[in-house]
Amino acid sequence: MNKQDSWSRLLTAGLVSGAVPESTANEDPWPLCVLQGAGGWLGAMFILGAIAVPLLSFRHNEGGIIFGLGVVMTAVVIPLLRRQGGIVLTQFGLAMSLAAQGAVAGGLGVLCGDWGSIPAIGCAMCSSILLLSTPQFVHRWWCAAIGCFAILSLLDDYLYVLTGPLAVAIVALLLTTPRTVRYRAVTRPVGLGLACAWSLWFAVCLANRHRYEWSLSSGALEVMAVTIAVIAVLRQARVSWPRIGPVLIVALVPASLGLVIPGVSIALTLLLVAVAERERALLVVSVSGLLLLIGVHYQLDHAMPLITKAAGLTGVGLAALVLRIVSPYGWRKCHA
Amino acid sequence: MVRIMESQTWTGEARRRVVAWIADGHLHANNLDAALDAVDGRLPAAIWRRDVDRLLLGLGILLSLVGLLVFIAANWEGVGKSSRFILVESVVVMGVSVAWWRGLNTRSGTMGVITAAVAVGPLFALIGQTYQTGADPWQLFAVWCGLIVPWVVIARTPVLVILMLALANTALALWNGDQPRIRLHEQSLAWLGFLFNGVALVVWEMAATRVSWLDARWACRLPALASLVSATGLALAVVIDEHSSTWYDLLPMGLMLCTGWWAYRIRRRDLGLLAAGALALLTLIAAGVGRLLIVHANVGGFLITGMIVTGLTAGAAIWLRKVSQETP
Repeated sequence: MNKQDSWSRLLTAGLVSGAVPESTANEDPWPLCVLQGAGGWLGAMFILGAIAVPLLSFRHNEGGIIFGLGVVMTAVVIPLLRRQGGIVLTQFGLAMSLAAQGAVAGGLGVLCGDWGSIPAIGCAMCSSILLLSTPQFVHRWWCAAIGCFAILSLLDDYLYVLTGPLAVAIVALLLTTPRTVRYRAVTRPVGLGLACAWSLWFAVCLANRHRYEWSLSSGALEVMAVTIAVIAVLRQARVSWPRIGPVLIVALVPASLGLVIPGVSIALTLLLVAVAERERALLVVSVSGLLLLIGVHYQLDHAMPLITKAAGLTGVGLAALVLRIVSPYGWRKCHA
Repeated sequence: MVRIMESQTWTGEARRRVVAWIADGHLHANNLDAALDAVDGRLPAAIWRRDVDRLLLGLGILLSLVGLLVFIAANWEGVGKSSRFILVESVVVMGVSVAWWRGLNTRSGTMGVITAAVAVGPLFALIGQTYQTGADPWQLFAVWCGLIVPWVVIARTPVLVILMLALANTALALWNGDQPRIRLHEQSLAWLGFLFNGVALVVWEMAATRVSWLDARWACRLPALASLVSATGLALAVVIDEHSSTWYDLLPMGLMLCTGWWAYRIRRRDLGLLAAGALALLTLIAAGVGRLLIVHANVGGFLITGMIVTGLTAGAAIWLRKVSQETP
């Protein structure tokens, strides 16, 4: 169905009036988005190289110039991307934006002689400004991911405590309700960016063989996050409170994984949003994330006996098969 | 059923459009549900149920099998020789039994054959380990690949074809690493990858016109991407380090781009593969221009290369957008 057909149907239903408006939504097919994203990164790498060369030669005394260059580039990028002047300018804007964020963080790092919190705060601020002031989905998603990663890197060990609240934030950002739909152009890329940043942070920890300390309170927060997410999804589907109870009890079984496996609530809440919104892409992402987290946990936990791991894996597998057999009754009940 | 077939191509475009119109103020937010109903903006329940059903089946079998493998690993030392064989063979028998019981035209039956095909490999590894056959690892993968061919033919699922191709690729890579006469293993591996996957792609595309179950675009793209990645690797080696490569290493890239243009632009339209081809060409040009311009890490060279790459990406995106808007 093309844009004209959709508009005609809305006209017939009496929901709109007038001619088809020009939409600001990204209507490009996914291969085009992938090409633009990858090409943008490639271009940005060279532009970043151009910034990195003087950065390496200036060292500690000229970081201000690099930071200033980053600020100027940010100021140039905003009108460039707001104009929506075609793919060429947009593509250039994407590359420039990435380079600007790198320059701001790098410049601050050289200026202050600190490669920890100050560049991260600078980068997060720059990303937030770019995110809020430009309309492109790919750009917003990039900026959100970079900004969130910078913030997450600041939190370090506290992040384990914050995983649960982060999961709730992702659900709030991704669920489409009449109240939030107007802001979806911002909330959706931010939600996806947050999920991506969190996954990236976890991968970095894994690459550095970071040993995590998972406490019961962190796990309880994760379970709580999934509980809140389930309630949010069910309330959005206008399910009455008495009916929420049994569903919540069923949902708490997988949610209890959060007591032992760090970060599992993020994947579970993404899964919930995918089910609520009937989104295939999110479904694939959340299930892959869930499997990855379970796999990583089992790989890192050397103290756990193999027999326990086998029992856990087989148990979850059999539960999925049982759920498949039971689900037709559930679907029928929902339909009724 | 007709509805399911129609919705195979459901992409969520209508939903995105409705959300954008609400965000732009053309439609009231309170009418979200009504608007989605009016434009079929929700994924049909039948399709969604089918997707969830497939997911649960796949996950259930995958996790149960991994659990079984971990269980076997945990007790491996204490299991006798014959018990080990019984354990692994029972998985193969169980898979085939499920396929026979449920029928090959059901999803459970197909999953049964896939399970059996996957379990053949560990069975051969066990034979090699127990009797010390002295076979090279590449031979294990080659025999595994050869033995599952009848199952691939009768199961009629692209997943098994992909498994077979993955096994063949692994066997080729291991064989390549074992050859003492080959001087440059990376280059010969890239050539092997290009040729093998290229031939597999051509055979697949030709067969897909006659055999309906082979006409799955997602699966067909995998050998195409494998071949393209190999060809790009060879061409990049020529551009970056001409001393260890020869000009004919550029041939695979040229061949891929020309045949890809004919097959996926003229004969049929496949935006995914066209974008992949454009990206490969872009990477090659970026490497070439960068090598020419970036001498002694000069700022100008970096900047000009960045601008050229950005411009070319924009050009490719404009072209692809035009292609996507053409009526198929």
